[in-house]
Amino acid sequence: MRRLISLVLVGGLALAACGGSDAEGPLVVYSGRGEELVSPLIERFEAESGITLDVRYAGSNELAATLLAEGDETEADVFFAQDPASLGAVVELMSQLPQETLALVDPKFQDRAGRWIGTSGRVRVFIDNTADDTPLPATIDEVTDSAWAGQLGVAPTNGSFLAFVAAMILERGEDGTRQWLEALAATDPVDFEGNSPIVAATDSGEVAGGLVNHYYLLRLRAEGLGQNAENYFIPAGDVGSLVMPAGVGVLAATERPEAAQEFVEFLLSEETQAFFATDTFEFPVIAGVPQPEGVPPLSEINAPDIDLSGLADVLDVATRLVAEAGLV
Amino acid sequence: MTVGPITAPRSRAGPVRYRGGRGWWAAAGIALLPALIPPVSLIIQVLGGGAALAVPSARLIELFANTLLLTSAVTLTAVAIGLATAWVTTRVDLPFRKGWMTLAALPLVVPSYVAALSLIAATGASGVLFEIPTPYGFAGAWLVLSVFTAPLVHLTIIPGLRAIDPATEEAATGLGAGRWRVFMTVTLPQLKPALVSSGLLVGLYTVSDFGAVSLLRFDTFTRAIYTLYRGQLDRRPSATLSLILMALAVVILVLERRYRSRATLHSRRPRRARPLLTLRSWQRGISLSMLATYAVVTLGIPILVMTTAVVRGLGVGQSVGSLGNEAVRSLSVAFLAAGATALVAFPVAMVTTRKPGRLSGWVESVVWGTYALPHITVGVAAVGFALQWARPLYQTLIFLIIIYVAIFLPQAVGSAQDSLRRASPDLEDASRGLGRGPMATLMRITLPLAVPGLLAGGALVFMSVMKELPATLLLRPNGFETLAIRIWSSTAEGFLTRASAAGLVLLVVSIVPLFLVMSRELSD
Repeated sequence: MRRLISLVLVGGLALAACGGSDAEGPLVVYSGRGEELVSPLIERFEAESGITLDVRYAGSNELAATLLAEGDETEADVFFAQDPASLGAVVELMSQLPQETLALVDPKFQDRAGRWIGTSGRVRVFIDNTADDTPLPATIDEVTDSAWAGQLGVAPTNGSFLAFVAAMILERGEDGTRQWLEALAATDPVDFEGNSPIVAATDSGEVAGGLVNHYYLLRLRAEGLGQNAENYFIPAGDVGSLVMPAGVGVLAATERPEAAQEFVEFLLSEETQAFFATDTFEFPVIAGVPQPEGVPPLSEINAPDIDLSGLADVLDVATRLVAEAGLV
Repeated sequence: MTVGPITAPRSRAGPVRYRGGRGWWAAAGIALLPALIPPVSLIIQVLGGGAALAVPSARLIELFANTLLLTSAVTLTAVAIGLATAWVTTRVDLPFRKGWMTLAALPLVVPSYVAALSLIAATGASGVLFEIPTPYGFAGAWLVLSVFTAPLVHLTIIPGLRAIDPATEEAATGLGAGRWRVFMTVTLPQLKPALVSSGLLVGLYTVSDFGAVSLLRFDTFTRAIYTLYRGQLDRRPSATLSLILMALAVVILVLERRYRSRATLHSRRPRRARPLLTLRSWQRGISLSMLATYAVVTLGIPILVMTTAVVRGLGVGQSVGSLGNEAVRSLSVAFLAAGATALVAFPVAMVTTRKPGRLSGWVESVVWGTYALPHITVGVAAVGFALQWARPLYQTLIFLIIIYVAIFLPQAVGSAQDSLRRASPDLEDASRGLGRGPMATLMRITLPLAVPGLLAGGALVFMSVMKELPATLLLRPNGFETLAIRIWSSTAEGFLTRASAAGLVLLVVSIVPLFLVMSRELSD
C-alpha cells in the first residue's frame, strides 16, 4: 500500500513538474485560419526558429469566444484570426505590439491601440456569372436592384458577411444599414452557408452573382473550376469593396513574449507575405511584395475608409439587424 | 449465445428480485454524470446571466413548427427504411447477406453535411448526376436526413429481430396466416419497443442536426442556435434557446413513455436458430434491388461526387495531403468512446428496464434530453464546465470522450434496453435462487443477455463519433485533428480535393470495424 501511495505521489509530482515548466513547452497558437493554409508556414517557422508550435485550429469566432471564456488562464500565446471582428472581441486580453512591428503595416490595417496587426488583405467583391448579361452594380446599393431579385447569393450567417454589415454600420449608421438590409431582403436573395458555395453556385449558374471575399474564386480555379465566374470590385468606394485583413495578436498572459513576437514578425516577413500572395491569393500588407495574380493591385481598389478597430463593438448589432431584416 | 431451459420452480412468495437494486442505482447515477454536464451547465448559465431571447415570438413558433414537421417526417421515413433493410438482411436467404447488412449500416458514418453537399453536387444546373433543380428546403432536408439516419433503426432492431422466438411466427404460419399477415400481426408487435426507441434515436438526432438543415436551407431550432453562436459573443440567447429545445425533447419523451407498451417480450423457451426464408426469384430480385438502390443513394452518390472532385483536383495539380494520422486519431477515439458508452449504458439500461418508475423516468429524460441538444451547445456548455469546475480536464482526450459518452449514450441504451426486455428477469431470479452471488449472476446471466444490444449500440456510437464535428472542434486537445475536422476545414477553405479525399478515407476506414462487429454478433 505504501508503495502504491508513493507511486501516486511521484506521478503527481512529475505531472506538477511538467505543468510548472510551461516556459519550455511549445508556443500555443489559436488559429482561425485553416490548417491547409497555415501548416506550411508552421513547418517553416519551426525549422527556422527552433521554436515548437502547438496549433489549435477552429473558426475565428469560436476561438475568440474560447479566449473570452478562458480569460487570463488561457494557454494560448498567439491568436491568428481571419477577421478584425474576432480580433477586436479579445483586444482586452492582448498586449501592445512593439512600435517597429506596427510601423511595417498601414495603420488602417491594425488596432487603434496596436494590440493586433493585419497580416494579409482580403477584399469584399461582387462575384458575377459571366454567362449572363445582367448589368453590374456600380454601388453597394445597386446590389439591391430588382435586376438581381431571386438571383443573388448571400451568406447571412457567415462571419465575413456579418463583419461587412458591421462595417456598414460604422459607415452609415444603424438606420441606414437597416434600410439596406431590408432592401436586400426584399429582393429575396438565395442564402448560403458560406462564401465557397456562393462562388460555386455562381460558377454553375444557379445564381447570377453574390457577395463574397475575393480569394474564393481563385481557390476554386486552383481546383480546376470557376471558369464561368469573375470577381468584380464595386468601384464606388463604399463597403462593397471593404478591405478586411486577417491579423494576429499576442495574448497578455503569455509566458513567452519573445517567441510570440518572433512568430508575429515571421508572419510579416517578405517570404511569408509572398506565400500569402501566391498560395492563398491574398494581398500582402508590407511594401515591396508582389501582388497576387488575377486581381487588380490593392492601390487600384477603391476601398472605403473604415476604422476596423470598431467592428467588434457593433458585431452584435449587425447580427441583430440581419435577423430583424428577415435574412436568417 | 444460448440460454438453457429453466427448470427451477418459480417461487412467488414475495418480491425477491434485485436485492442488488441499490448497487444498480449507484452505478446508473455515476453513469449519468457525463450526461448531466451539459444541461446543468446550461441552467447555471441561464440562471446566472439571466434568460435572454434574441428571437421574436412569431419566429419562435415558425421554428417550432418546422422542427416538429421535419422530425416527424424523418422519423416515419427512416423507421420504414431501417425496418425494411433490417428484416431483409436478417431473415432472407440473400447472396452476400452479411455484406448487405454491413452496407446498410454504413451510411451512418457519412456526416450530414457531406450527405447534403453530395445532394447539391449531384443535382442542379451542373449536377453530376441529375439535371433537376436541387430540392432545397423541407424536401431536401427530409430526404437526406431520412436515408442517412435509417441505419440507426437498422442496427437497433437487428438484435430484436433475431431474438423473436421463431415459435410464435411458426404457430401463426401453421394456423394458415400468410407471410405478410405474420409480419404485421406477430413480428411487428414484438418489435414495437425497439422501433420506438430507434424512432426516438432518429427523431431527436434530427432535432439536433445542423449540417443538413443549414446546407439545404430549412430553418429549425438548431440552425437558429448555430446562427446565434456564430454571430454573437453573448452566449445567453443561444443557451436560452437550447434549453427550450431540451424541454421539447423531454416533452416528446414523456409522451412516448405515457403510451409505451408494457408488453412482455421475453419468452421462457430456449432460443434456437431460425431457418432463413427462401424467396421466389422475383421477390429476391425486388429485395436485392431495394438494397442496391439504398446503397447507391447513400454511398454510391457521395463516393461518386467525392471521387470526381479528387480526380479533377489531382488533374490540375492539387494534392490530397496526408491523412494517415487523422484516420488513426478518428478510429482510436471513436473506438474508446464506443467502448466507454457501452459500459456506461449497461447500468442505465438495467435501472430503466428493471426498475421502471419516476426515478428511472428522470434518468431517461436526462440521457435523451442531452442527445437532442445541438452539439455546439453541448460543446460550449462543456467548455464552460471544464473551465470552472474541472480545469485539469480542459482540452484533454479523457474529457472529450466523457462528452462523447454524454451525447451518444441513448444510442447504446436504446438497444441494450431492448435486449434486456427480451430476457426474462426470472433467469436472474433463478440464478440467485440456485445460490449464485450477485456478481456471478451479473457476469454469467445478465451481462451476456445484454451483449448483443450493447454491441449494436457500440457500433452506432462508433460511427457517430467518427463523424462528430462541433463538440470535437471545441473540446479536443491542441493538434488533435480528426478526419471529420479535416473535411470541415478543407471544405471551408475551398480545398475540395482534400476535403473529398478525407471523406473517402472516413468511409473506407469505418467499413472494417463495422464489418467485424456485424459478422461476430449480429448475424447468425
